Amino acid sequence: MTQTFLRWGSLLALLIIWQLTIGWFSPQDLPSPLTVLQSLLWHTTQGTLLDDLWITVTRVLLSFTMAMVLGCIIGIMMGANRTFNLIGDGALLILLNVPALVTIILAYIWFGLVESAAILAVVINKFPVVVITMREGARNIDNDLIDVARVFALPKHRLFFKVYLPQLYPYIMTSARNGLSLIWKIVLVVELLGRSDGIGFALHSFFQFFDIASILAYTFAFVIVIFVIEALAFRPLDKVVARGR
Amino acid sequence: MVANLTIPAFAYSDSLIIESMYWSMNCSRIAIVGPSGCGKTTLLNLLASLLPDAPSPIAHSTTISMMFQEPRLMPWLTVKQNLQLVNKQLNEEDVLRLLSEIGLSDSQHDYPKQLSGGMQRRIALARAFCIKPDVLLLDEPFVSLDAPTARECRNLLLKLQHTHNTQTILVTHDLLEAIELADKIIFLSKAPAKDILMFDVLNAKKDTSDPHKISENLLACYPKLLSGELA
Repeated sequence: MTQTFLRWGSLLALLIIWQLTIGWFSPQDLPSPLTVLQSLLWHTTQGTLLDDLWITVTRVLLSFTMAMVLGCIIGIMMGANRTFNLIGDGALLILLNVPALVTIILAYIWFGLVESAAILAVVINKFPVVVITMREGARNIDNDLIDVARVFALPKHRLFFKVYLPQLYPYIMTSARNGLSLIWKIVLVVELLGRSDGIGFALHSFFQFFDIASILAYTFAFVIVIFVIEALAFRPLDKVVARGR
Repeated sequence: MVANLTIPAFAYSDSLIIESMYWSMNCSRIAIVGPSGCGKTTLLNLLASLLPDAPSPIAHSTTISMMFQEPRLMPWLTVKQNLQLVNKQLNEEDVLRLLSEIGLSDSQHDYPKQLSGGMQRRIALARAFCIKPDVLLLDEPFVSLDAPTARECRNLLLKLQHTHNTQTILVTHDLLEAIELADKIIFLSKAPAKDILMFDVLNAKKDTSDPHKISENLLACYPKLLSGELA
């Protein structure tokens, strides 16, 4: 009860502060919550918000999945094997520190303003971060439990999926959480720079008209989507991961 | 049953940990007693082929099982899943039968963290037996338990060993435990481990069945036996 109150109460407080401060700004610079809500409804019913949202969410999920799979494989390999770690460490450091904008521009120049270039740019930005987390996880594998699997002569696949991988679940959850929020921010930039659809492109048009209400409406629409993903995917998965720990 | 065991010398980064040994141990319950740090656990890991580049001297056709110092159950699996992890063929009834053997029929859906230390050891015992092993290796399995719980677990081990007819090789530093659980005790020296005495417990039990008495008699002959010296 107290928890729900604190959770929603704090959001409500933010909304009230927003409503109270609009007096100091012109409605153009800071529209009221009501104006934003009206804009949101208008874009949903008459505008292209749902289409834009769908396109962006597809891009986010596609690049998210690819970055997670790639990052997990490379991260586990680097954490488990010294040689792989030495080979990959330098490249990892470079990838982590190349600005997102540089990868996006290069991907568009080299591969053209196409969908695959957009996805590739996002994946290259995200997967090194997954690698770092998963490498840490693979280094912290409890060898005592692996020994159990070896004594009982478990087949390799069962050892991996029932003994090895469950130890990495918390690390996978951490990188998934961080990943989703990072990826959708990068996807918007990618759309702004080189796609003609999606939320990033829409925001670019609103920017040219200084249409702040629409910009905020689109932002809220996406935040709501992230909230839904959090509630429908991450919370239940958290419970699965926490079982027995 | 493993009747003879030829243990090769084992060195780790140039320091010898185990000397080569030959044991004739034609009995079903063997205990290995040695001072702490003498390489007992390494020896057991060698038998379980857990050491890198050191194949187990126990024949490949022998099914080996092991119980470790800690229960080492998978925390993310329920008791039932932990048993089924090592033996996929176990069905619902098998699991229930195994659990009732150790007196934990109600715990099949519990996670290990929900159980007490003693209960976790009993599950680990059930897991060790559920693959129907020919040889069961035990690495001080009941340390860090309070005396009554340890006693309960030892009795359970004896019972399970009797029903499953398994040969056990127990490593311990506790002479009384060894006398209670073994027919034959092999005493090891300080590192590098080398057998210094083979003691026939069955023979000694003909005179007295009191483990304290047997231990007293033995230590009267070899006062420094437990620190790995004969004289």
